[in-house]
Amino acid sequence: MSIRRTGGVPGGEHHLSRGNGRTFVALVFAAAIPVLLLSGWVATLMAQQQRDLDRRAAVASATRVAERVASDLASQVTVLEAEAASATLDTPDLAAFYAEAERLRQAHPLWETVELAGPDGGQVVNLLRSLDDTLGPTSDRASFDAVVRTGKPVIGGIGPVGTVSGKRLVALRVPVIRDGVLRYVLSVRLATNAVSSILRDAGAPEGWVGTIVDADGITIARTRAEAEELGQPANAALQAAIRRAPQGFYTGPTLEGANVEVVYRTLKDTGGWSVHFGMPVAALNAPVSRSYAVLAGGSVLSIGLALALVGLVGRDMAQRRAGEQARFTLALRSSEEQGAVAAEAAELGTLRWDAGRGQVTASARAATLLGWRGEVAEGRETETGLAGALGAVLAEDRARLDDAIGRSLAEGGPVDEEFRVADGTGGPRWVRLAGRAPQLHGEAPAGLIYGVVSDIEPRKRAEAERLELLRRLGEAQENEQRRIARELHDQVGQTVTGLSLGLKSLERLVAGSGPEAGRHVQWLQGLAGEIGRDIHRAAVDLRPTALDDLGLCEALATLLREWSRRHGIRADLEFLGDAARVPAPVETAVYRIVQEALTDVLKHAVAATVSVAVEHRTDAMRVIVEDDGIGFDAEHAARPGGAGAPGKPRLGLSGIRERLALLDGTLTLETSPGVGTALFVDIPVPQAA
Amino acid sequence: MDRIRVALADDHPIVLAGIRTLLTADPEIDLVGEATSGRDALPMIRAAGPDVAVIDVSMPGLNGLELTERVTGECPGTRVLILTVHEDAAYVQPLLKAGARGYLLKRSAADDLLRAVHAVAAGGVYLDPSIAGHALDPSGAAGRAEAAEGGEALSPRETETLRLIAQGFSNKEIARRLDVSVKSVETYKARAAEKLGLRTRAEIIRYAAARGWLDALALRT
Repeated sequence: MSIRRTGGVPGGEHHLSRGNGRTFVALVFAAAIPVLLLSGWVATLMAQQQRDLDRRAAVASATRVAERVASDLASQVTVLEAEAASATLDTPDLAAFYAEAERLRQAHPLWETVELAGPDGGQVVNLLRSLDDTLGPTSDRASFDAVVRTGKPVIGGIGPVGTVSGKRLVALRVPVIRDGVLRYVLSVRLATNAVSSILRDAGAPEGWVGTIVDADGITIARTRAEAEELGQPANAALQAAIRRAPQGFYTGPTLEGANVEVVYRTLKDTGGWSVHFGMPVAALNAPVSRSYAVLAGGSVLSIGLALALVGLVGRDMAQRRAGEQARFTLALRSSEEQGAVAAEAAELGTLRWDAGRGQVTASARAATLLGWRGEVAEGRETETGLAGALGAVLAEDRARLDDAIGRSLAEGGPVDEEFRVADGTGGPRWVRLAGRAPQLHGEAPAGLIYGVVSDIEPRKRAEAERLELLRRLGEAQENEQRRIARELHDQVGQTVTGLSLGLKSLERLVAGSGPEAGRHVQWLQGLAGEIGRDIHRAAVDLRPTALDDLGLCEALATLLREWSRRHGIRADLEFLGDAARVPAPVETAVYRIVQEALTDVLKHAVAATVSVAVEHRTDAMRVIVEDDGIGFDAEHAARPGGAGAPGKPRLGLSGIRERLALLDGTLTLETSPGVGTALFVDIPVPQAA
Repeated sequence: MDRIRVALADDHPIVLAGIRTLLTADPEIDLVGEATSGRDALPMIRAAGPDVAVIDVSMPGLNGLELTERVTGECPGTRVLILTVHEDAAYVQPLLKAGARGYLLKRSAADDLLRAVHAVAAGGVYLDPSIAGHALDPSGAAGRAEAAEGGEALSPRETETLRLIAQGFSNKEIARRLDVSVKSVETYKARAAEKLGLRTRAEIIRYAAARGWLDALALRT
């Protein structure tokens, strides 16, 4: 036990620390997976939120720019309307107007020029020219016509490069009405860079490109590449969008990219101007895309981690199992070693009887003990078939052993058999096989017995010697008794007979000498007779001559008759079967057994009748001694100290058993309280050769 | 009346001397020969031709039984009176069968020898009183078994039980054979024994033997 412990613990600790490190890593991995996934998800959410914020900022900018531009234009229009109501135009006094307009232009640096045109479109005054110059028709006829038609201020689109100004200008026109009649149309030409500055000032969000277009989709201002685009018609998507709705979103190709997301607002009271803020979808979605990439990366990493975790745990489990198995193997080997040491020390052989496979495996010692032919390798196991294993057993014991093993296999009970093995060198040798089916977790593999084989030859020999000694002792005792009995009968008895005969003669001789002598002789005669009877009784008790001279039947008959007469118990004898004499030891044994049984009956049974039946069969004697006494509890008496009423355990039985052991006989007892007792004795009789 | 011619054979000198004294004291008895062994006794008796030969059973050489057979066979005029130490009745029957006319125990010899010699010489049979009862004993039991004939009829089970008991089986063995309990066997046995008035196993065996139940058993043995 201690060996296994000192050998096992350090290795176990080592495994344990390595296992712990791996477990820690696995735990970190397991914790990292949700963190990674969560952070990827959060990044995505935040990116999406950022994009929404950007969009919302763009919308706000567009609205703000639109309002600023609109209000700016409205204020310009208001100034213009005030000028239109100027008294200088009542009369009209063009010179005064010119001066006034010149003053106004000075005050408004964005005003390129102020122009006054008649209802027919012919310019009357233009600040870019002197009052005296002859002027052509006004440009941007569409807005002019709109003013003439509606009689309300109009903001025109961007016009073509003006003949006078040489620039692309935007016209603000207000009607000059006197007495309900349109006299003039007053216009201000604004340089587009004014609009551009408004747009720039409005502060377009970072990355966004702002554009202002007129109702025809012509670009008025732009935060980037204004020079190239100014006055050019915008892209088709924009045009389609402003025709579709006053404000909203669209995507389409612009200068900045093939796929640009645009938010736009139409300005109020500006004749269909609209503000557009656009950003390439790619740029707008870049953070989201990045976050998607992060998320994807996180997921891939998580999967990787998960796989690694699975691998780690799997390896860990495999290692643990391997460690456990190693420990089991060590424990098993240690226990096997202990078993082997014990078996070796006891000079035992171990055996594995596998009826299922039809094989018997034996240790070297067991194989030697079982007398298996062929090579018995030192320290190695030998295997042979069932027939081979049984074949080594002596023919007389083979069936018994096979039977016992079969019974053990069928019932699961232990097997403990002593049998002889034919030994090549000497005579048969006694061997004992003790074993049972393995009891592993309740269910045993069918047809398997583990056993231990031991050499019981010395014990058997000692037993045989002891029996032989006992037999010879018994025989010697019988012989001695027989000799003494004969001596008593033939010598002492005869002498006493002679004595009493002599006394008889003496009686006649002293007949005349008076009564005194006669009485004395008679007394001596009585004494001699008594001695004779005593000697006879003693001789019979020692050994009845009838047993030798006349046989068992006559001897028993005399015994019973005498016993019955002496003790007043009715005794009955019946002799059945062959009348031939049986060997003297058997006769003596039967006689003595009956004697002892009768003594027992006398001591314990309180019987009125005893019946003895002797049956001489071909190969056995059966003796039955039955009484009608009180009987006893056989099971109770089987235990030592189980004496009790009614009846006591029969001590004489042990003497009977001893006698029977010498002759391979058996004793069966049948009794129950109140019914009486019957002894059944069986003695095998060797056939006369 | 003629004196009785008596021959004596006993291997024990003291006994021989005692008997001789006793016999010679009787005026009606002539001692005509003595022998101290069985082998010497036969020629002596043949030569002397006594009326009565007093023979000790256990003698070296030729034992009493053989001697009796030879004497009764070869000397028809001689009657044999056995003198013995054996009180067993078992010894008596064979000797009587062999032709002995008297059986006397040595310890009774002092008192009864002369009477026995006279009785045998007169042509009678003399048995020692202490064994006379034994010699007649065996017939009594047989008589009882016969008397049981008239008893109540047995049931088949009782008959079977009785038969098996007579054949020497124990109650347990019978119970196994009949497939009943041991208690039942005890009951069958008690009832059957009561019906037939049989009290012991030996009586049952005799009853069975008289019925021929044991013939099969006899064949088997």
